[in-house]
Amino acid sequence: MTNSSGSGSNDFDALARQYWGMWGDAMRGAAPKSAAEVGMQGFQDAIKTWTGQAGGGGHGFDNVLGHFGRQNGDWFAQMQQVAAQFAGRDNSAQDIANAWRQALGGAGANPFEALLGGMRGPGLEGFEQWSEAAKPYLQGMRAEAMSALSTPTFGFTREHQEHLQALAKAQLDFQDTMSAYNALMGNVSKEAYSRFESKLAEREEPGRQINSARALFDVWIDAAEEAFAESALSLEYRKVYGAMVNAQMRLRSAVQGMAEQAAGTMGMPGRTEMDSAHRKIAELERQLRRMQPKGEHAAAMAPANPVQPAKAAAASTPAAKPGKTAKSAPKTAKKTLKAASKPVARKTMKKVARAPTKSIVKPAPRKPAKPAKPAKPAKPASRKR
Amino acid sequence: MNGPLNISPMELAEEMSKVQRKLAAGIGTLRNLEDVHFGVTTREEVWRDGKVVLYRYRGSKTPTAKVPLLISYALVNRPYMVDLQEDRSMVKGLLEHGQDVYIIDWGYPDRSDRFLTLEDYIERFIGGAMDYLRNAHGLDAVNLLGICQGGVFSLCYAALNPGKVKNLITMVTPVDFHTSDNMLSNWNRDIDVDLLVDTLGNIPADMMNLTYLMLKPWRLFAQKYVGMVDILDDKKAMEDFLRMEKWIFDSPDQAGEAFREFNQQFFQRNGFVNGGVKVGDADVHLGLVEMPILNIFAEQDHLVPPDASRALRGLAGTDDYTELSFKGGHIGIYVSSRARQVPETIHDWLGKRSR
Repeated sequence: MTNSSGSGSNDFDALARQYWGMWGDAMRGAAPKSAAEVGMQGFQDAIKTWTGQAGGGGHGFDNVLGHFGRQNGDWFAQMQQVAAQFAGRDNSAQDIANAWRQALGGAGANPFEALLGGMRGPGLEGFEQWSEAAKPYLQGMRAEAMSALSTPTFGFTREHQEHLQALAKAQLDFQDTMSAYNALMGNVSKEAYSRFESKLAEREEPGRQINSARALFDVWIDAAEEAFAESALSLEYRKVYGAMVNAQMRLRSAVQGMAEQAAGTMGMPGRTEMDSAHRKIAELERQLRRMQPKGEHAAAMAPANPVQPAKAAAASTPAAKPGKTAKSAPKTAKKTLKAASKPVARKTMKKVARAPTKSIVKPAPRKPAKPAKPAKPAKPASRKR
Repeated sequence: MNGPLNISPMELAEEMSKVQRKLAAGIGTLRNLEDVHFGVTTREEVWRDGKVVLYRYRGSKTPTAKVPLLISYALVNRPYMVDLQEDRSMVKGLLEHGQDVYIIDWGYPDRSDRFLTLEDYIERFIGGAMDYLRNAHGLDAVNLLGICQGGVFSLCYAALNPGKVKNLITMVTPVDFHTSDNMLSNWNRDIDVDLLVDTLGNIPADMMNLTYLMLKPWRLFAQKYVGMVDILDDKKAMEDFLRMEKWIFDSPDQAGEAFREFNQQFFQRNGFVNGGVKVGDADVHLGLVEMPILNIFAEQDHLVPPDASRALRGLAGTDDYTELSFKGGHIGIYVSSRARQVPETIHDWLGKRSR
């Protein structure tokens, strides 16, 4: 396989020689770089080389490589750097946890914010990403509108001014809610560091020690996931997350309204117009379906030459011809009625008694809609010249 | 060395060197990979309504089961979720046991489908497919297997049309949406769903997938791709990996109105437990689900916690209720090596109720 990689293999050989050389220098004490720097550079260089070469194959792996490069280049490489700091010498859980915290940016580091912010890609419109994309547009009007957000508007353009005010307020609101979310993630990060240290402390005794950078990384993952899960299941998270999503939707809605207005000036149909047409079609389809007698809908939608049922099934049910009406439609209806009424009296009342509504209405049998009278053929319009 | 980390510089260097060898080999692996195929079983279209298609799956032998089985999966997935590859296919397993398998393909809704409701999905599409099968096989009732959200749809359909469902199988199906370990539900509770749908129209698939990734952000966004290094020199393993990537991220957008109704009735109001579920104008009561039920859930399911599924036992009206607890997660139940037990269990369970 390595042969097929062509020059890529040579690049890796050169990289490996350079890497081992640096390690050798570091171990002899004559290295221009620390052991930690050697570890970091080695991995990041390898990833950079790899993603560049592997991605050049044009096999549609860009998404995979994109994730891979970002995550390895950042998180794992940094953990490898931390491991390199303590390789070959005594260490403690606190030392390693502190080093990890420092590697990620010090006491105020918020790796969760960084991780979630990194979840992006083509077409992926998350919270931060969307705000970022809309920023140039919003900033253009923001400075102007900010000073007049609460002042009444008047004159020929008052409606437009009001929209701008609402948009600016929505943007500010979204930024506030996102700050609150990031602050919550900051707390989760602190908890994750604490759990990381505790988990490391559990591994101090011989036999339970960590023997690779990868295993050290996995301990961090466990700690971070535990901390996140605890928060994500909390009422606080529900409130903060809900507020952020709602604020983002208000902002998007305001932007969309303005975009639609702009499209209208150029004679282009907007969302509202298209939705209105789609809604009408959906309702018409629904009404049409309700007008059809039960069973006809399925038959109407079957292809002209539907497949025969399986031979075995057909053999055991000779009447099983596609398109044939179920052998006992009335019986089915009868059964349905029976089933609908029985549990209400027997089981449903007991089981659904917890329902706050307390009003278990016996489901009415679903009457088939009366077939619509065929419309009279329209008289041919007389043409007048 | 004292302390939690016991590693020498040489060992660390060797670890890095090993990673580099994997990366070097990975270039060749990726360049030599052919297109990754998925969905392995022969199928044919037998019924269609708009973008929704009913497929019949064909195995190597003629089905021996007299009653066909319709599979309804979640709107966020694709049919090949249960037919990924030769050695990971629930469909293949069911066919090998003699089941006559049909799957309803929801398609990819676009903006013109924004106003499809739960009534459309449950009564029009599932109902239409069920009526087709009943007609085609000359039966009053056929078997229905619902997966995840498709299981919720199946429960609703069975409650509204109990005479048309002979046996009901639910897989990783949430019933009680408000268990304390349901992260997804917790996040949904304070979201203004009306505002969300009115703003977005259809819910973009990427937004849905981002939400799923966020359930385990470090594992699914960081650790997973670090772990990929281990298999970079293994062509078969990389093909499997990429196939799973496709499985996970090939998601249709969600029709806005159906999303609105589903989120409000189930995630927010926990309708199966608290009552008040409506499909169109009809009330849904699980007490009316009296046919035999096989409820399969995954013990390590981070999307649908086991307790969310187990709640069905106390709410369904049936006297013939069976549970299967699967040792795995929400995805592993279809694609892991242990998943082979699932088709066999389903077949055996149906076999006992075929008379």
